[in-house]
Amino acid sequence: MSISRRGFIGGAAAAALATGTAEAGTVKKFEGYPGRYGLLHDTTLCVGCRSCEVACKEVNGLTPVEAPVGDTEIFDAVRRTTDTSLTVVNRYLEADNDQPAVYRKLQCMHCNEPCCATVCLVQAFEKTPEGPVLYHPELCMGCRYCVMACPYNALAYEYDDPLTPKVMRCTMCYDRIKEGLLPGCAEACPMGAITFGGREELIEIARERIRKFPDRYINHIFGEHEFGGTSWLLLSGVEFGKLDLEEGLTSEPLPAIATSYLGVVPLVVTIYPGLLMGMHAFSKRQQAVAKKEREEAVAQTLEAAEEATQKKLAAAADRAAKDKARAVDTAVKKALAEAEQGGES
Amino acid sequence: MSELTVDAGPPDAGLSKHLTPFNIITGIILAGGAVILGIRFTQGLSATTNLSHNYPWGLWIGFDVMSGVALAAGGFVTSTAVYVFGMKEYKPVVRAAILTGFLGYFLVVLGLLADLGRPWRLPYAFIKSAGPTSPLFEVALCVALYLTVLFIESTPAVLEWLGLKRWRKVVGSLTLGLTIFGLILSTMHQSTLGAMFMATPTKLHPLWYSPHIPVHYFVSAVAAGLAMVIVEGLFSHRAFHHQVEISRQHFENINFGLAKAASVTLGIYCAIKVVALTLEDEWHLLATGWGAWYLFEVIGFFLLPCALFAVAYRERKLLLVRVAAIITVLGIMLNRFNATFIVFNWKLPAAERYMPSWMEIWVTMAFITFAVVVFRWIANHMPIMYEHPDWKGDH
Amino acid sequence: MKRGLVLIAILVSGVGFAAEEPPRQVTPATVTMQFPEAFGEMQRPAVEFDHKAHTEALEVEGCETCHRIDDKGVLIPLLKLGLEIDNRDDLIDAYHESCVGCHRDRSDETLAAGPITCGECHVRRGPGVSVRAAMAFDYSLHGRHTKAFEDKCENCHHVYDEAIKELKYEKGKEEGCRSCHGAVDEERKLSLANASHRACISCHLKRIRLELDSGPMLCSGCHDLEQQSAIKRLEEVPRLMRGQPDTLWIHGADAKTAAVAFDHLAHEPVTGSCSTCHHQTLKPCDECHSFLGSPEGSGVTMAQAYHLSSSEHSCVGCHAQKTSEKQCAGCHFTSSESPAERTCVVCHNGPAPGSQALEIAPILVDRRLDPLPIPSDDYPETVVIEALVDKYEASKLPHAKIVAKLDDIVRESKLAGRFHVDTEMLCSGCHHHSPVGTRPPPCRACHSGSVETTRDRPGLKVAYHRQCVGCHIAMDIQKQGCTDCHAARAEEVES
Repeated sequence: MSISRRGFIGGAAAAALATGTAEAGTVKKFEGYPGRYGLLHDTTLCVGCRSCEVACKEVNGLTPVEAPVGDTEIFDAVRRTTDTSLTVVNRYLEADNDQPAVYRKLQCMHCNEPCCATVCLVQAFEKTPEGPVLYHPELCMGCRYCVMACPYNALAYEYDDPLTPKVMRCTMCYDRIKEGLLPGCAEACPMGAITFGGREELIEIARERIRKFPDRYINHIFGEHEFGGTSWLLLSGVEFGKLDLEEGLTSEPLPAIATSYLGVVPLVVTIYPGLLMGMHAFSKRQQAVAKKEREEAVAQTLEAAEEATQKKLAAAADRAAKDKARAVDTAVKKALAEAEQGGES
Repeated sequence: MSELTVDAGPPDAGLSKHLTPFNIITGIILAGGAVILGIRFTQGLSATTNLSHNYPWGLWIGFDVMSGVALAAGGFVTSTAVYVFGMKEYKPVVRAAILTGFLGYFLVVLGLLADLGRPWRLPYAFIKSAGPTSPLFEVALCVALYLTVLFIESTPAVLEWLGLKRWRKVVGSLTLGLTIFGLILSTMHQSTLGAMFMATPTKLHPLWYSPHIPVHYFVSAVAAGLAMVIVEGLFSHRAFHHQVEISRQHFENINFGLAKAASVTLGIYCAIKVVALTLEDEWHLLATGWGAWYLFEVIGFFLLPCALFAVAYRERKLLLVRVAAIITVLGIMLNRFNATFIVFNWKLPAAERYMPSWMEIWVTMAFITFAVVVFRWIANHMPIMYEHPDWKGDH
Repeated sequence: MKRGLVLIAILVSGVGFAAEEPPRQVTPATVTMQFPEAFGEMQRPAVEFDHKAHTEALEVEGCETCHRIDDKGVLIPLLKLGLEIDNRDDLIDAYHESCVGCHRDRSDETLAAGPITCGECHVRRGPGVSVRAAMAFDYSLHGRHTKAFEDKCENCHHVYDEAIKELKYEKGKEEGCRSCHGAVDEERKLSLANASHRACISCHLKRIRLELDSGPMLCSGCHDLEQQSAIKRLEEVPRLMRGQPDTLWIHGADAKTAAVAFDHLAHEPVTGSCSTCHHQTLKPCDECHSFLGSPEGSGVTMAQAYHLSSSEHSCVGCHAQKTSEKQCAGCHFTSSESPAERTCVVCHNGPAPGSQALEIAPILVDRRLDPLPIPSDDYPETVVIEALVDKYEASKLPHAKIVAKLDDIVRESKLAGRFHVDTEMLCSGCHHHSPVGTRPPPCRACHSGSVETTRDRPGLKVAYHRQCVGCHIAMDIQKQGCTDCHAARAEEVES
């Protein structure tokens, strides 16, 4: 494709204009796609039946649950999501005289600003306007940076697969949502501990529940603001720390924290060449100056030596001439004396 | 009838000449590595590693990629010193350092090819779908470019060996530009390797996590490079003694100069660490178990060699320089391992932690062995340890 | 790779520091010797004094070793050497002389002795969690004391006469200790702890030395949870007589609504002590809680004092708490805390304020509830729920049996009986958010297929499960598994 000079400049100008009219990024805040979906998980309603796990496996075609619904031994250990279990329910507090047992369902939180998407070097994650974060296995090279970065430890990887391993995580049943159906877990939950709907509406519902039953709930909706907010919102009757969720998380989006340093890169690229060339020139100058001083010193020494030599030569020539004159004198005197002596006899 | 029996020598002279202990051992290691990689690509990572969903990065990333990149920093450090700052006295070690750097980065790529789920998709980041918001993208791009830079910087020795004078001249003229480009790339990717952990503030212990991790990693990489040049010199000076042209005095001066630089760098690193503790109000964490481990790493492997280097420089003790260099190399490895899988996800119970499997260790050893074997062959055949007579004194 | 093995060795030894230690427990018998704040900051941490160890070690020598017993026989719970000293350095010396001196003397005599060095007493440790359980009198314990003192209230109760600046006894003005004694000493008015320790322990000590039946003398006797619950209770607790009426009209000055007939006699057995309602003083509520609020009542208005549902001292608050008990919670757990407005008249059914009828104490009669109806179409015996049959068979709900059970619970409770004005109110426990009547609407009338997020109204499946299983959980009924209510459907054989 050839492009004329005029076209190139025109295009560049158009691009500059476009970026110029865009808002300064630091002042405005993108609140997220309006009308996006979310899920409200009310842990006070969860009874640990794990119907959501069963439904999730069915919907996604994964290996069935090891322990059937109603099995309580499975709760003895705290589990995490794996490559074949995209969601698990854990029991965090056992039932005692006053309180029933406390459970929580774990899965990908479908963050408003997903860090997995930011750290993926092939952009294999996509935050959809509907809310779910999608994963594109056809791009993934398996570096597992997303698994490292996820603050909720929600992602898993298919280490058993030698040639086509994928990252495995909850998809919020994106295809079902697009058809107007409920996600598998939301449909299955008999107690309505999972409510699917618009995220804004769910926040209102959550606030209303807290207002109506202040003794039942901790006055906080987890996921409303944490790390920029998540699509999964949680209500709890016990401190969120007891549910293995970190309390007091910043509302700053995790991607912003993760990439704050990258702003330095263009600076390095633009400043270093000049700086280093300057240093190089400086060092070369130092060497050149040193060389020049050395040469001057040598030249001076040579000159002085030359002068001294000339003086010595002149003095020697002088002495030689004087010696010669004296020798001539002596010879002449001797010759005259001999001549006189010869005349008398 | 008299017969003249000419002694033809031992029949398999050609083969037994190669069956040296060195070759046998390296052969076994390399063969084993190849077998394990075969298992990895037929049965998956779970069959050959102890990687888990909580610890997706293990020894192959922690050593081959993270430590490998840091330890290969000697290339840019020495070439910058010689070609940008004009410190000509270090010229004799530049080629070996560059070659070590090149092989080190090559080792990084090998490690990645073993560890990635689908390594043949490595170029996707450049040709199919780039994710420029990712620190890893920046690392990949810089490492790819830097590997090219190191490769070109390594070609003068090859071209001299091949006698291609015109090409050699062309490449030689690129040296300054390549060095500067290499320093730019190195600054970026060495620090960004640290910046990769900025995405995990809740999973990396606060003593190791800092908003200034990139600076910590860059400074430690410089120290690592200097130490590796000393360590590599320790081995190659002995192995290639017959090739070395510089005097013992000059060689020692180089080592002491490196020691001085390393001491200053490590001192700066320790100062940065102290600043980080104060800025993030973390002094009280030193009294915990993890705090003890942190002190063990920083004091034992960074502050101690800093002091040792300084003492060795003053007292002119070469052995002490080498000891300090080895400690520094171990310290860099420990620092990278800590971030990758020891201190990572520190809140998880001890039962779920990651330990490298013997197969991961073997493959890593195989990669290192491969680099050593290649280095040895190149150094034995090409002007690395000495100057080619046609190019003596050339800048 | 030697380096690698060395590394792994270091790793193994270095890893696994993450175990969190549980917080340190501070026993009830530990006295933290904290100097008054006025004395400024101390160089060393406060000593956590093990009182139990000392009482055991000095059993023979007795309490007088450290404490002074005054002429009235009251044991002063302070170190006797430290009394009368208000100078910081002198006080420090007094304690050291007393404690370390004693330890030294004992160790000289090769007896078991405490520490002598500074750091062994002034131990630098993190904050601990105190397991000291607060002690309080209930009717039973009070009854045992009145019996022991043969109804002579002056043995414990006193008031402070400002005029003569002394304590004296006034009949009819007996109050709980808390009405005057607060958390800290205020000049001559001792804190509750100091006052009760002086009063109680001295008496117990005297009786123990006379080998009479007595209360505990050791800290743990009152302040250890286990020992607290082991305190003997009277079978028949006598009524605490302090001149209170059996029934009375509650009508505050300036109030406009109908007065409330209050059965004081019936309420006494269901409270632990007077202070459940008379939380500060035995005066009537409206003396401190004026109509518009006043400083004496901490600004709490009369209406709030009686109606605040979050308070355990108010009428409504206590009644609300009762509905969260197991036998009531099944229906009541779904309703929010504030009571339905239609129940106001249950209490406010007396004469208007200013009426002459208020002069005469009310007579309260138990309400008689109508019997449950006979099963019919309107009130079915069994309800078959088959609307959502899929993985499970239809559920057969034993409707009449459930209602009968709940009805029994209501009849057993006077409180429930009074508020459940008619049996139909029982229906609204499950048939909620709809008019009370003989034919309440079925669940599916309002709970359609899926959730209605705008009203937080769940779909039909969730409505059934939340209502049924939620009730079973709240009432601790062990029918919470899926197949407890509906059998699993056999898998359909595919052709």
